[in-house]
Amino acid sequence: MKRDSWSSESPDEELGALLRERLAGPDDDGFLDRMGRLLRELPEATSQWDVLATWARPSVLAAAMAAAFLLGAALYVNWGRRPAVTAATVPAAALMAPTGSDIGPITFAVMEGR
Amino acid sequence: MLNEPGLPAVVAGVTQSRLAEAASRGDREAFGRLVLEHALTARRVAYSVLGNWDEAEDVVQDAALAAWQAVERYDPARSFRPWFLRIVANASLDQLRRRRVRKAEPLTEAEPHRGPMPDHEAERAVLRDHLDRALATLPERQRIAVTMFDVEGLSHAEIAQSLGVPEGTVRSYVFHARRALRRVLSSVMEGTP
Repeated sequence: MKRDSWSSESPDEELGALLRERLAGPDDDGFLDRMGRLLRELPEATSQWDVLATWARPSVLAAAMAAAFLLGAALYVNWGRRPAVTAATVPAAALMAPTGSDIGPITFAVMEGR
Repeated sequence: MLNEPGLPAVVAGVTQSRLAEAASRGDREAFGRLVLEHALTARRVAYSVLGNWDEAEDVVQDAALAAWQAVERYDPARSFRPWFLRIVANASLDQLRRRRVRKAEPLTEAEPHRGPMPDHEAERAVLRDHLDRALATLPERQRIAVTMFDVEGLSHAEIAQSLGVPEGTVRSYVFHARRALRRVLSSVMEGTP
């Protein structure tokens, strides 16, 4: 074999010819016929967005219904548990009549809360 | 509709890039023409991996379907051939892995038994046999690279796209494959198998 055909930049014709002979497949025309048939019968192209769209519509609807249900349930539950106005732990007198000597009642109220 | 079945599509005035552009938009006819044009190359690439023509044909058909399903992701600014051959090469390697999982099989189909033949034919048969065995010893990607480069005439850049590796790696694949094949062929030609 000639070494000058070893250039890595161009095909090695000698080796290529041997390989080509070895890789000569049977019945090229028959193969191309079968490929042609397959290609003519390809299904219509479906874009990934089409696939997503068919999947998304019911999913979005289901998600919206679930969200609405959860929101309704949360409102209903919270409505029943609305905190009532509770009595202040600080005596009104302590807030309404601040005088110099009222430190005692405030401290007392805090202590009372504990 | 496609051209006559079995004929590579060469349509006057319709350039590869226009076909590629149309194919990328889901034009079945344009896609079919491009695939048909490269189908024989695809089958040889698949055979170089699988060593079985029936399996190679199945793989090319599967690859054509896979390519059609993925055609939306094909960039028509780039050549169709390496894009399609990449799908073929991957499908071939997958098929080889599946086969290996099933059972160990020889790489090449058994040649039918031949009776006595003339000397030169016998020589060719010995050469083919050694070539097969030498090919079988190569890693699959080297087989694909040397087939694409020396048989199909793809550029290093196209092979790099097809195999998803850098061009330098393709050069290395081709170099090592050639060296291994030549070593075997030289020994046959010198009569020292």
